[in-house]
Amino acid sequence: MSMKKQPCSHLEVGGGKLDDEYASPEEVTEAIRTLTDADHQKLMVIARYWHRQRYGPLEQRVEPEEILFEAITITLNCDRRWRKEKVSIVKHLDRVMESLSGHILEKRMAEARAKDEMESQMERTEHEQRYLRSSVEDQVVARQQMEMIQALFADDDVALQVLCGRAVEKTAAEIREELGLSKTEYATVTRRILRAFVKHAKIREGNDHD
Amino acid sequence: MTDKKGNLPNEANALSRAFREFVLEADAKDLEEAIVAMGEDSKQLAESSRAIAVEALKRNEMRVGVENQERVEAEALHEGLSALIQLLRRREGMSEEDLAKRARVDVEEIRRIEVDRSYTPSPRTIYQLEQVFRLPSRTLVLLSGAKKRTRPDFTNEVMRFAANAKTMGKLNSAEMKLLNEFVNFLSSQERDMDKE
Repeated sequence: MSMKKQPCSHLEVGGGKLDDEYASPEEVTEAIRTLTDADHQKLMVIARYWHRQRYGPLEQRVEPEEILFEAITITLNCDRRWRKEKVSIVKHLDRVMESLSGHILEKRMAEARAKDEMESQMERTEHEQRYLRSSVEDQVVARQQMEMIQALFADDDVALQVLCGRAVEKTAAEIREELGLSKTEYATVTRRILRAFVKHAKIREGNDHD
Repeated sequence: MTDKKGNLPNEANALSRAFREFVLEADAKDLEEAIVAMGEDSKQLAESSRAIAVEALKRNEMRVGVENQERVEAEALHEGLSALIQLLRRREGMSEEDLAKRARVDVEEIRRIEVDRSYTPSPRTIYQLEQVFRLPSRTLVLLSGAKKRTRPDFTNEVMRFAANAKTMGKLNSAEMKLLNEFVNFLSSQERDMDKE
């Protein structure tokens, strides 16, 4: 009796282009297995970044290892499908961590509030209020991110300008021309940005300052 | 800050993404140097992430294995139930419609039990069928999947029965023997589980 179930069988997508766009469970597994050392370093640095980026009491922040584990797990079980033709697995996991870090925090905060929950007209209003609060919280988080980045490069205007250029999807060539940078100078700036990121992500709770 | 098209992007998220891109696109050498410059062991950092990935892969394998095993067992039980109902019906010389009428269940349900391996009959239907075929109480429950506790060899025995059961014509003596042995087996399973 041959009935080995495909692990993502809850995704019964018809054949054709839509299927090809997304990685199969086997492709995801293989991609995770074959991550290089550099890939793993990137993932850990990114996970640390997300640990720091979510506001709220330190005890409610999610550990970087937890974020990374969850991102890999839900990619493996196809709850977040990897568009293999469009992004690398590392970039995909970054996006998943971005999404997760907010959700995990919200879930923990909701669990803390959930003890008093009851179904009622008044509670629906409360739910609406929570929804609004979470929208406001998103705004606050986004603003915090921007201010953090700007503060990191307060003494490095060129790096900040390069970063802002990339944020509006300018190419490296366009940015170099705009800022009058040679290729070598541009490469030097990108390395400064990289170091700033790694340094920022490294700082852990207890030493939670820049 | 505007993009080339003159639209206003979500500045903060765009900036964050651009920031992360410098890590995502960094070449291995630059990344290693940046990590070492912070006083960290780059190999250790990679190993931390790798250990997490290995654990996630291991748990995923276990999860898939358990799901597959449960599905195999559930389908085997259904196949056994299907074969048993067909043989019992043939023993009594009944059509599906006759059986449905006597058991006071919908004929469509009888058909589904006999052909659809994924179909789980209702507890009432199971009870009614046991009554019609004069089976010991809860004999069919074990095959319906409603009761989870079974012995390790139970599924194998069910699969063996289903494989040997035939579906055409009146029961011959071999099929009758097979049927009676299987019903006795189910009854003994139920009795043994009650004792535990």
